[in-house]
Amino acid sequence: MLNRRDNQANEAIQAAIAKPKTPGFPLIECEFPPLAELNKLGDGSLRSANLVDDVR
Amino acid sequence: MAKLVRGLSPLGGLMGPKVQVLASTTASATFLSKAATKIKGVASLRDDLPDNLGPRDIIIVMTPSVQQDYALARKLALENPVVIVNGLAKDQKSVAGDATMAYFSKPLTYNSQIVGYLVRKYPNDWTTVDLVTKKVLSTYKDSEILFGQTNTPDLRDPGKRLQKAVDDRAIQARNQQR
Repeated sequence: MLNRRDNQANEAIQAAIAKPKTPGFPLIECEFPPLAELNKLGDGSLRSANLVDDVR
Repeated sequence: MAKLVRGLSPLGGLMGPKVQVLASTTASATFLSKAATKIKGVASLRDDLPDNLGPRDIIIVMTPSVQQDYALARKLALENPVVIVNGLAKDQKSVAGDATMAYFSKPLTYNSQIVGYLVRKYPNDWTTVDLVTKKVLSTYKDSEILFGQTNTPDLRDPGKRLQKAVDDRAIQARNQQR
């Protein structure tokens, strides 16, 4: 199930692909780190080491 | 990531564009095999592109993290739409200002609490939103917020506006208590 943020990101990316800021150069970027990444990753715990792969 | 792939290619390429997801050149084999359980056909930027990609098919570059990843993404964008998602360790050369920031959502903090967001949903302007009042505090064009020739926003003005909004509310609350 896509949530509101996912839908907005999809719409934005499709709009950017259709008409990028630089005409003819569809290099698009988006940034929306998942909430889990706002906590400290890489704190040395096994949980954190596993989470690094999962949050991608 | 899997949701993004489904959103961009709901019929899996049967009609409309296919989506090819590429992980960083530094991605481990363990990570790639984990990712493959959720995203069909995921590969690494280290590998050659599949032969069956057409010019309208979309390439998603997943968390690039070294300069080589960003350079390869830029090269691929000369032939196909390329979407960089959650780039890591960016510097001034990573993503240039001729790229398009399609979606950006970053929480901004003050006194260790999230007080608002800087959001961008292309083709709309960048927007600072107050978390408490939900009001738009400021909007910016690319030329007004991106650093130099990069695709990275300067968070200082949005941060200051949110801090002021928080302080103003605190002062108002204190005055009402007197």
